[in-house]
Amino acid sequence: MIKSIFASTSKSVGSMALKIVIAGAATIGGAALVSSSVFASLTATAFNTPGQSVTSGTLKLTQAPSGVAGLTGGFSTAVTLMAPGDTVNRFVDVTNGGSLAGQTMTFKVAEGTSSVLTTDAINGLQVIVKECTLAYTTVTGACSGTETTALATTSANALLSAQSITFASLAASGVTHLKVGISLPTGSEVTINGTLPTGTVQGLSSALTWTLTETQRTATTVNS
Amino acid sequence: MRIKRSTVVAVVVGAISMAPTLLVSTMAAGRANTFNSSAESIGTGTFKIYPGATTGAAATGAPITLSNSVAAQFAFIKNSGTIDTASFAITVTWAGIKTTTLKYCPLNTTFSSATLCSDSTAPVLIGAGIADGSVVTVTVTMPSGSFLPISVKPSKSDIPTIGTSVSSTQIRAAKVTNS
Repeated sequence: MIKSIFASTSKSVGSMALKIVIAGAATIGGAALVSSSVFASLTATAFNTPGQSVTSGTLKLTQAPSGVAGLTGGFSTAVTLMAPGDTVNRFVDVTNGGSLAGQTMTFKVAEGTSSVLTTDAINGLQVIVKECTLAYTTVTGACSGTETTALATTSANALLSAQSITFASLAASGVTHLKVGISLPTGSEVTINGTLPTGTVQGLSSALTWTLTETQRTATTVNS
Repeated sequence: MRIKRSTVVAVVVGAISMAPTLLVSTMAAGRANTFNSSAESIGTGTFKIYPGATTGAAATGAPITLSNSVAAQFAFIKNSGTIDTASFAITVTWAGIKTTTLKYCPLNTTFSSATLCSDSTAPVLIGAGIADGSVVTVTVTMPSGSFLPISVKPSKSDIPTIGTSVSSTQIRAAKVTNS
């Protein structure tokens, strides 16, 4: 009897253990299945073939003396012994050599060592800039095309700060022909017994650097 | 119409996140410049006319007093500037109310006598009966470095003082240079 009971008990315990093992295996297996389904999710991509070509433009500004014979002095040729009332015209070609158009051109001058020529807005140097649609004519400096005033007469003193200057066009690769007139006003200085007056414009020397600056054209938004 | 709170938050967050981008695009607008790499040298000339007792006299910056007490007293007007002049002014003064006569000989000559220039020409009369302190304009073109002989003929015992002046309106004609 006892033997029979023991045998039955033993059989019952073995069945329970088997159930636990099976349940555990099922849990682990299920988890493994879920996990493996995450790693196996599908992805899809799309890209353009060939690659999209994107290029950026350039903004370049250069200046050079006019190439017209007789007008090749440019800004780097000295002006000497200027007298009150004198005007020196220099002919410069400005090239907007980049691939982008420009806008908002400005013009300014810097003086190596400050002098009355730039500190005196009345008696100092005066500057006027004209533009011709064609290259200026040799010797006479006349414009055989259409001439416009890019900068009305302005004192060099004012040009120590950049001033707006108007070009007919600032298109890419465009060349602008300029005539820069530099004059010394007649004034009313009087030299008495060979002595120069105080604050005189006489006997001065100066080194001037002329700078033109442009800004790129307005940024655009293209929908295409 | 009520705006959802979440919408407002989204707009604010969006604006904040976009702001730096907009600022950068504004500041990054391209600029180009060009300037003359070799500075343009500009020099101005001088116009200096002064009286001297001799052709080699240096400027003193003051009128000169003639000491050659003869009937005709001589002096030189020099252009020591770098700019040619078209005319200049002479002021003759002396103590008391007197008058005088002014004459000149050609440029770069001298007076041989009160009535004769060294080039054998006769002196040119500038003015007669010039009162004390009068300013007389002498219209003679004087190149830089030249000198003009003058004679002053006051009373024998008078010692005149001569001063000069030249203004920017009395120099050579203005030039327009295309180069």
